[in-house]
Amino acid sequence: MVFRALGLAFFGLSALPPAFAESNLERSSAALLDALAERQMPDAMLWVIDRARVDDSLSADFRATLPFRRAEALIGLSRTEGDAARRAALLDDAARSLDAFLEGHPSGDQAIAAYTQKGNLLIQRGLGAIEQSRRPGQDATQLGNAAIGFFERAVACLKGSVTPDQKQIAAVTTAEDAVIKELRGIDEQIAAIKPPASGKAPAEGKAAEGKAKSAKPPPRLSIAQQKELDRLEELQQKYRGQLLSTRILVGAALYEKSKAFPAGSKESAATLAESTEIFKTIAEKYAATAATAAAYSRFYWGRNLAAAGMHEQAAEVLAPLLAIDGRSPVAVALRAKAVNTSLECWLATAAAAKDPATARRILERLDDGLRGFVLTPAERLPGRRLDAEWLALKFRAATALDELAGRLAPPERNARLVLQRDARKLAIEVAVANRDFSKEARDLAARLGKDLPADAGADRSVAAIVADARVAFTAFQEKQAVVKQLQASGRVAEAEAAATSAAADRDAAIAAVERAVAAGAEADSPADVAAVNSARVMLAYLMYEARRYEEAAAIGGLLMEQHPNAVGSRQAARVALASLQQLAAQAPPGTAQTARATLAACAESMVRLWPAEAEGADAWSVLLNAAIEAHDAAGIVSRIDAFPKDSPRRPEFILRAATALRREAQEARRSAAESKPDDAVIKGWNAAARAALDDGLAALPAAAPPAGQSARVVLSAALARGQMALEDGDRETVTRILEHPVYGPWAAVERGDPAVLQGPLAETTLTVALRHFIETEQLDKAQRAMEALEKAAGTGDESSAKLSAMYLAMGRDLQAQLESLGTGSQADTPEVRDRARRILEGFEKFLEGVSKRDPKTSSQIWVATTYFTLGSGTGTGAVVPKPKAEQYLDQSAAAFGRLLARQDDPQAAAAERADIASFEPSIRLKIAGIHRARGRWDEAQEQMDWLLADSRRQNSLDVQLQAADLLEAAGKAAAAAGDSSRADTLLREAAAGRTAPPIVAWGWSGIATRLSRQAFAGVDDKAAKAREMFFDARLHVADTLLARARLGGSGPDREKRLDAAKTAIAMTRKLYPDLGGDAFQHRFEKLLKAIQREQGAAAPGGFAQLDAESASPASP
Amino acid sequence: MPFHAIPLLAVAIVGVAVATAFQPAAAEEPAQDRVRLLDGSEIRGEITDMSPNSLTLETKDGSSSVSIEAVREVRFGGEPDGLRDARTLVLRRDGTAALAELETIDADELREADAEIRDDVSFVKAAATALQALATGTDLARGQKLAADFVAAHPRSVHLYAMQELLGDLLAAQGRPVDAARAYDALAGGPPAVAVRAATRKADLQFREGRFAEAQRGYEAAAKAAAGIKGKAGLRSVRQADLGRARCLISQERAADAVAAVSAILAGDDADAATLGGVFNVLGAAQRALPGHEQDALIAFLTVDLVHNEVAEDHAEALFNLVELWEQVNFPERAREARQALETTYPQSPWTKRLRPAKAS
Repeated sequence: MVFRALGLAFFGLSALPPAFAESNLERSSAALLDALAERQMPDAMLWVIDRARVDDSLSADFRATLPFRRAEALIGLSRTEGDAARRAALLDDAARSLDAFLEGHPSGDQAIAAYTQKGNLLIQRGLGAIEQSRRPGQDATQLGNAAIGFFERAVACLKGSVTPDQKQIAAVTTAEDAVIKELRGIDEQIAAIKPPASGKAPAEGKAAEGKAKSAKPPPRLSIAQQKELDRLEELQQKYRGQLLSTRILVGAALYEKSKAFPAGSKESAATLAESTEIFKTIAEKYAATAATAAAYSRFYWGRNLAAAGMHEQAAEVLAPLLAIDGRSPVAVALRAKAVNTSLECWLATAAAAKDPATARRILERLDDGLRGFVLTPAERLPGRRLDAEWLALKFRAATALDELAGRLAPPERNARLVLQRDARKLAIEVAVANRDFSKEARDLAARLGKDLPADAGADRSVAAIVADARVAFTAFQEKQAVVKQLQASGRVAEAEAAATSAAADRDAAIAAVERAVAAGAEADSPADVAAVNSARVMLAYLMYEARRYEEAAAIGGLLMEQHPNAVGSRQAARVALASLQQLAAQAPPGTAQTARATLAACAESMVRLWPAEAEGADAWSVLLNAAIEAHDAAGIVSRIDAFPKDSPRRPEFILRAATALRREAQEARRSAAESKPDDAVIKGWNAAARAALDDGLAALPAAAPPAGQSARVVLSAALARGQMALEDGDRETVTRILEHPVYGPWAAVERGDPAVLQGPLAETTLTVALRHFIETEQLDKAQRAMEALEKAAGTGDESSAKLSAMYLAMGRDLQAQLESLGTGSQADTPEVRDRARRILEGFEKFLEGVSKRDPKTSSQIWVATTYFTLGSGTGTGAVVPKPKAEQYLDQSAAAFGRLLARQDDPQAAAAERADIASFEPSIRLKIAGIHRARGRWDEAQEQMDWLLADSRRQNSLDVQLQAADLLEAAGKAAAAAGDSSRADTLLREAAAGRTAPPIVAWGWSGIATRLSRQAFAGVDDKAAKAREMFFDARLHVADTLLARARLGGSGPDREKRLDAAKTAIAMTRKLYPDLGGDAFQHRFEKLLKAIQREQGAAAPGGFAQLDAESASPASP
Repeated sequence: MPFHAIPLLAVAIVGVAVATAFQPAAAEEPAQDRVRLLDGSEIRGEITDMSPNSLTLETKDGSSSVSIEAVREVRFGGEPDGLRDARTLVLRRDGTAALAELETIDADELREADAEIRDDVSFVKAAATALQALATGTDLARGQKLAADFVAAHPRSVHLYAMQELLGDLLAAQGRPVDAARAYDALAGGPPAVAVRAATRKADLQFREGRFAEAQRGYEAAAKAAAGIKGKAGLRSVRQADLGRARCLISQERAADAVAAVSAILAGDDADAATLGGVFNVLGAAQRALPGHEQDALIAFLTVDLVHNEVAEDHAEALFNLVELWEQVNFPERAREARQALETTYPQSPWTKRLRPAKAS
């Protein structure tokens, strides 16, 4: 509102007139600046001005006007600047520009424009200072003084110093003087053309008659002279108008200045009186010649009197304005102002009246005519809405009518009801607008609602019922806001009490809105349909708040499908979507499935109706989530394709979708052969994910990194793209992605973005970055990544294990990459070998450095496990030569050995030694594995015996499995080496177990026995896993028996062991006929056939032969 | 909330009101024929003779002959308001609006009107139909027939060359450059500025076919020929040829040269206001072709949108560019406003059709 003070300058002066001949460009630029000012595009004005300042083709005269234009643009910018300090800075800058313009001593219209603009600007600065002084914590006195200073400067800039008898105006320094100078010039020109009127009054009688006949008529003007005269008179009127405008502005500045002084002070009264005198003079002097200006001045005169507390006099001054009959926006606005201030005066004088009859007479000035005016509905007002003026007016009128009703005698019941009805109507209007006076109006409406009988002739139109409902709805919303504030401030008990109260208001609002919806069920006029739809929107929201999700979804869905363009339908559709999401998440399985289907249908409708709008984007998100949850990669691809290209939310959407799609592609690649999609399909998903990631990342705004939830989406997407590039060996892209200033995950780490400091995203980011930096031998960065990884693991009890798990995961990724290189179609090409070599070299160098300089347990474990993964990959043969792999394994064993030795190192910290102690079992298990892989059986067994010597570790299934496997492998190796005796012992122990206190190994048979109960106890994943291990153990039992049979050459022992092996299979099959499924059946039968072959069958029959043998009678 | 007064709200309104209160009443015009010239002046009197090349008026100062190349518009005394407005719309090349305006003319009034007025209605109707066909790309053959019929029926009309040019445009739009060139050739028999126009329009044909170097030579030749013609008509011809040349430069990836060429036009003080829309559009197009000059391009197209928006085709072109540029510099609300202005003001314009499909609401 306060910005409107500058409007005058924009009206009269923004079209800065040229004082020189203009080029096409200058004429066009000036007109463009005028148009941009009118369109309120000050930013574009500044573009034009900035270019014009450096454009040599523009004349110096034109460029001299630019500071004025710039000031105008800066003032325009200040209008939308929310920050008070920045707004003040813009206005100060504008003032400097105006001063620069005035330094060139402009004349005529340019001078008038500049001084007026500056005066207006200073008024604005003063108003800003006053506004600031009202804020808590501000120095009100200092700011008040500053405001007074601004207003004084404004008056000095506007108010003329030229007296009527002063002939010459040497230097123009104010707006008024500039206008007067122009006006005098025009007056002189008119006088030069127009003949002077005769100075003498005609004499009376016949002589005078004769004289009149003989007097010369004024000389006739030529057409050119008449044209010039017309033009000059037009200008004269313009400047007269400007003179009055300037004086009104001076009066306004003085009025504002009076308010800046302490209330009731002498200075305030004196300044207000000065302002009042200006308005009074204009109102009285120009009532006939400049009626509109005089009418406005009359209003300001009355308003000033009201401000001085002279309410009776003010009401008298304003009285003529109350009868303004015009319907033009200007007339309606002026009448509204006058009625508003009059109501203020009447209410004050009525309240001060000594007897009720006087008070009643005063309030009765709000007569039928004025009552009709104040009851004008908002849609019939010029702006089609209630502005602050009208809200104040309607509320004051409601108050006045209510007070008048209270003063009527009991027999005047009907008249009182009419007054109360109108008062309530006005109060509801103000309450529904939910801006100024809303709370007071709501209270008044509520009180009048109780006072009025149901049949009091109240307006029961659909719109009125909906308005009533809105009052209840707004009351609930306000309560809800209070609850949130209390919760946020931690006032739990008060918040709970407020929540209970809010729930009651909500239920009352639901009842009121339901009545409104029912009342409008048959509505057919557009206004009623709109009203009832707005009630439906409220109802959907209230139902959601009441957790009546089905009803909320139904109402929102109805609005969306049947009234998609109604105001609030989009909001209601969002409520429906949210309700269905709640139902899908919370309802029992059957209902949830229906809710999911309805949710999908609702989302589909929303994307159809509002494809590129925010509501559509929400719905797309729901559809994408459904596809992701269903692991529907093809569905994700189709969502990416279908999402509107011009939606501002596309980048985030496709990034999320593409990240999920890549995950699906990875899962598919790892899935079992029977359920694995074609490679071409997976490749297609990867290609789609890659393209979408590239598009999405490229479309991100270049200004600043994303924040909040979208930062997580963007960083995850960038990480996914980086991983893809890493897999492709595209190091440049990895670097570009990881270190991109906007979305780069590593850049986010470097700037301390909380999204990548801890949690899964941080862990993946850092392991990927670490791998990349190692591969590209950026060892400093690799070191920083390692340190960040350690921080990400935290400091709690689990941190070491977590860190090890992260290193292990990274090692596995590295191994998978090497396997992929080693098994791909290009596996044996020099390019692939070279790539693998570079990867390995990078890792070797880094691991070596870490192992030497970083003795921390976690670092050493990482070194050891990474060497282990490099050396033990099963598919890396093509890219990691066997000698190299063995070397890695040995380096791994050495690293693990060094770690164990640190336990006894007196120089190691106690905490470190404790740390290593906690890892010792897993380290020894790893060392055992390495020795087994390297065929160093005794060393492996030594580690295993250490593990099996402890009763707690004996119960570890992993340890027992590895122990049985080691014994079997060692036995078979001894057999291959020709050491049958040792082989027999080891194989027997592998099957039956080994007991040499304190060492206890269960062997395959013991493992199977211990697994049997769990394996057949249920159908869950755990049982399935146990079943798998059970049958595997049973296979090993039979296999070791076969191996032992083969040791003995021929003879009874051999036959006995072959029979035992066969019986082991037969018994297993008898007890568990399906043998754990097709895969195991195949393995069992294959082993059985091997046994049968050893038993002499040239063409072993497998299970069929076994069945036939068991069916035939026993041999005599 | 405390009561408070609203002190300065009305100040601006006062300014408006005061100014309005002092507006003088407009004087009534006598019903004379009026010939408006390209230099902005006007001759009033009675038209006594008209031909494709000139017209003669009896004014209070005697007889006066005016070459057709200097004439912007001819208004007949006593002509229906609808005809005057429709003709103005034709001058702005808004055929659809002109046809709608013609519908407002009372048939009885027209029946009783002079033959010149009835002929002028025929011209405006044919020209508006042709312009509408050109703007929408539909009914080109119908437009062509009306234009050809007018030319055949009114061989001595002051509008003969204008209609001949429209006929060429319609043929060109139908992919018939040879016939179009033949139609333009008829302009060669007119006064010098009209004859130069023939050369310019034929260069336009070459431009349309993508023969930019040849077109450029054509424009340069036309500009040279026009340089010798005196008065506003000559200057206008030079400017049109210069503008064509600038377009060729843009198409030949010499956008910076095009900017320089257009800037030279703008540095003068002689351009016809109606042609400035086209000039700023070419400037905007050149700046769009230069990387990093989006703001300059925006200023150029804003100048057309907010200042030189008289000619419908120019305005539509500017609005289209503004939609794209505002989106490019991330002002979606301004882009939406420009789109709305284009779609509602010029629903049939090819520029509107080039926009992406409107979003559902």
